[in-house]
Amino acid sequence: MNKIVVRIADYAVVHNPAVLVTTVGSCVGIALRDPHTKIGALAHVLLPCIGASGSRGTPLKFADSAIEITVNEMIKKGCSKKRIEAKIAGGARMFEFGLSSMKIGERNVEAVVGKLEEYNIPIIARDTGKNYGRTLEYHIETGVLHIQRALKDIKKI
Amino acid sequence: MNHSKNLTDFQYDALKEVGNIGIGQATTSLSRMVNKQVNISLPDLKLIPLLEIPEMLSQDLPVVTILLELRDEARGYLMLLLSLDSAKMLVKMMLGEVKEGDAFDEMEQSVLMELGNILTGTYISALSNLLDISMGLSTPVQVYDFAGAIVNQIVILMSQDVDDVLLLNTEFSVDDTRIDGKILVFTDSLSLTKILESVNRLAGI
Repeated sequence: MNKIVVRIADYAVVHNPAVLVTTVGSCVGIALRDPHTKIGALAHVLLPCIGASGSRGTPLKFADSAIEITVNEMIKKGCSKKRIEAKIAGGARMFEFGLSSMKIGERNVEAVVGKLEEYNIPIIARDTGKNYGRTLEYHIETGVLHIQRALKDIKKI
Repeated sequence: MNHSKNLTDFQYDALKEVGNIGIGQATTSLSRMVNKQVNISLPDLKLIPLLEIPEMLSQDLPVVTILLELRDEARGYLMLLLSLDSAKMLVKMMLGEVKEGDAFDEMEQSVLMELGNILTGTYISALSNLLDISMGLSTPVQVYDFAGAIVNQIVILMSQDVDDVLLLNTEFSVDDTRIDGKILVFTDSLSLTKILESVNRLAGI
């Protein structure tokens, strides 16, 4: 199967068949899919909101703007916004130094959830928080998100 | 940010040499700890966009990572990466024994962190003396996870201030053992201006 790697602050929108892959720590992977057209997407965001950042850098870095871009691209390819379902994973707190890294993972997840709510896109499964990294494989055919942790079995959501 | 993305060959060479001296002293201290010869590769130095870093480190296997934050006049992170086998062997060389399995107990963890402390501490004090820039380190944290996921968080932390990072990458191995690892030093592009001033001063420019 054709595996497509999604880089940090990047996204991909594809037709079935395809598997989208990315690794997240405190970043969040947002898997979106229209089950009717079998078009799916994976976005890898690293910060919560573009507004709060002074808009530095690519909008794909931020949860809110990346979701907007990804959903628009899906609609352009023929998805119906009403049918899109979401699964999210990541937002871990892997380590902390002083105050600088305070809850960035949690804030990322909150921003993702907030933006999806605004779009009325249901989150049908999630695996977020905790203190470990996750490698994600999003199977567009089935919509199953495979989550690999260091030394653990693959979890499917 | 006037220095970002276009360092001259001279500046590259000078920074590499500075990095080399620091790493050299750090590995000498490792060599004393394990009582064996430690070999290091020529450091690889790059000024690159932060967002390209995770790609360079993507590996399928999780790694033992000891991580410290660089503070004061130069800001960034230092990362010591070891395969699980290498980390276990290092602990064994220092404690005389190591438990089987994937996890480290408290004693073993503190040995690993001490290792991180000594390696990075020597490195930073060498650099700090040479460049006459004040540099401090946080206490180390130890994480066993995918390198990509760990670097992810470093990228997040640094991306709030800068877009580019100076990355120094050195590989090392310990003689007569299968221990090898990597030392990565991330310095943000804002600190680079400060470091380059010192380099120029050293070179008499």
